[in-house]
Amino acid sequence: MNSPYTGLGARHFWRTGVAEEDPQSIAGLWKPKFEIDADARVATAGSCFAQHIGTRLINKNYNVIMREKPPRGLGATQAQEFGYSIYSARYGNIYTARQLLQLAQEAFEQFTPIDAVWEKDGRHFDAMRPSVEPFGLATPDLVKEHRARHIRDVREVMTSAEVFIFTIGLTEAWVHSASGTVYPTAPGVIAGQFDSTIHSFKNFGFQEVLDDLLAFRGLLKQHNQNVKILLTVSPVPLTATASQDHVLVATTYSKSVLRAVAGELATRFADVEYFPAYEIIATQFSRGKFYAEDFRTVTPDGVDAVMRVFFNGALSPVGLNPLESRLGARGNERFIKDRARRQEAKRRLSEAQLKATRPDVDVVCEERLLEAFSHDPNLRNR
Amino acid sequence: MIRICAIGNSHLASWKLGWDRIRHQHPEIDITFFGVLRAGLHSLQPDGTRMVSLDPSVADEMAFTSGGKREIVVGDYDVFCLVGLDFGDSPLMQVLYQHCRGDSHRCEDGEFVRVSDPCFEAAAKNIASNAYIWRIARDLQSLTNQPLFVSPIPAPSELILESELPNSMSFPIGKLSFPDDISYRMAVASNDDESLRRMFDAVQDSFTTSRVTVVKQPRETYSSHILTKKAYTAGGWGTIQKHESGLQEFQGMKRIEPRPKDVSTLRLKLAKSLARLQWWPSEAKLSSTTQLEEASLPHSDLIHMNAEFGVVAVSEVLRVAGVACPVVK
Repeated sequence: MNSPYTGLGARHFWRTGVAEEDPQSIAGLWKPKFEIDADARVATAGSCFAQHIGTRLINKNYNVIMREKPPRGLGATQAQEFGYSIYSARYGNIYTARQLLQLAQEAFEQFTPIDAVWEKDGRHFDAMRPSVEPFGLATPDLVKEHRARHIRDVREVMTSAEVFIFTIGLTEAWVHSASGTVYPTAPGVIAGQFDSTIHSFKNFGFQEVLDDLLAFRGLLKQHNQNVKILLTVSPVPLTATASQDHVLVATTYSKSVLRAVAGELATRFADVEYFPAYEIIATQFSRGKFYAEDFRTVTPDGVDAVMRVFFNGALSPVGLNPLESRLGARGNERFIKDRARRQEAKRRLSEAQLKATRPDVDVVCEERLLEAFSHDPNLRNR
Repeated sequence: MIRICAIGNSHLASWKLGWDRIRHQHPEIDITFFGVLRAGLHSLQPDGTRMVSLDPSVADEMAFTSGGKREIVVGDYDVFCLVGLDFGDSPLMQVLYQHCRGDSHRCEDGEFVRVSDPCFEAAAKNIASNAYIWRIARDLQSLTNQPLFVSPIPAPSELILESELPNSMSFPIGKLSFPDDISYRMAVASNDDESLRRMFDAVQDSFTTSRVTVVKQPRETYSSHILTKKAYTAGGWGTIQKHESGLQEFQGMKRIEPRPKDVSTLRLKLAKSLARLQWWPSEAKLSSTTQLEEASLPHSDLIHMNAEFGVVAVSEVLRVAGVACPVVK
């Protein structure tokens, strides 16, 4: 009896591909359409989890764009507190597709955020990235000056990147109702004041997220024709939902929409790839072991597993290279083993170098603030 | 009798000179100086109830400046003062302002990173916290609960604005170099000095705790906000060269004769060398020789201060420590 499944490899079957696989050493999970060359200019952006990708790429000596550099003398942890060395520019976390689209539109002078300066205790904050200046700035004009400089850098990032990696995290957002300006955090969490007559809650649907990312891709390619986009979905669940659903249901909705959109884009375009970080961490495959006790924070082992797949995949494109083809099946097997050994040696070396040169730094995440505020009845009632 | 232990690098010299001038006014105070040039005190470490250096040359310098004490017996003192030791404006100007501007800064000259004032200040604090003075302070505090006062490196002389010396001039005596006078010139010319002073003061104040008091450079010694009046400037270029030859001679002797029999001859040699620079003058007549030299040479050591400055600096610490002391002018 013949069936369409006859002859398929182990990775196509749940028992051999998942149940019998060790989550620490996943084979064949990701076969990217394009390779990320070590010299390729890589830009990173996205929600909290994206910070891990950027950091590990830098530690692996990938050519990650860093437009806004911290001043000399600022320690690594302090630099992150001020939004430096996290992403390719100091945009802070970008949680939603709309936020990314807005940023690109602003960089190419098609969008101006409304109600973009928030105040707290006499200090002023950029509402579009309120976490990057933890003490705020002295005047609203200074915030605008800083933003203008930042936007120039964002434009440079977007026009110079060869690969743009975006980790999309949420479908829920807070919006300036009249203008549609989407903020990364709810007004009042870091700065500003929530006003239900001005601000409203928005939970983006599949079509909206898809349209936003299509528009982003179109705009980006208009200014940077050869750029490739690598999408990932953050496996970090929602800290809180402002929808009417239970947070677990809201999380599943949000991640499902994002995963479906990423898959749709990767299917449609040769220059868009999806990397399954979400699957590695959040599905049965990991047996839940990549989450900390709060079932939300991704453990270092989880990040390691994700990045191992990423680096192995990024260095192993789908098609065989000419040398592999010439070697034939047996030779190719030996070649792949040798290459795996070389890659493993390289990985160990860079991990040792990483430990020697770079302290572990916390991921910067506004959602922690949200959690800290979660006992505030005013916030809960919103 | 109040027994004060003053530990420092080259900037301790002006303290010694100043103290020699006013000590007669304070018969109830005794100051013992432990001065080691450059970063020699990096090797100072706690050992039981003492602070010691395992580097014999450092112990030699400690003995020379203290009158024979090769280690610091912590229990012998009521008050501790740490002077210079990499803490002050100069590292902030060199590492930070030279390459970075905060919102308050108007200077647009040079290639620099533009950051917010809080970020600039955070970087400044981080740089200051890495000064080795704080390692020594922590070690001292592990041995004693006596009050500890910290006196930062003085701001460089205002003569830096007139100086034609190249930037970051390196001297053969080691890492001693002039601060980057370009940064200072730019800061003063663009009136950034006032905001820099405000930030640097905030940085210094942030290190004052229940156990450590930072005694900032007295206001009256400043010309601009970040430079010291030229009247307080120490020696000239010629004197540094002479000091260098003296020090090399001293070190050469040690190489030839690691355990010299006549230590007093060796100390005298170094004493004369240092005295020419007015660094560790143990005899008044050598000090007057230096003054003659200074009169005939252009000022080039713009980072060290003289006895007059030392009078003000020591008096300020005594005042903050609760010992009244009129400033002698």
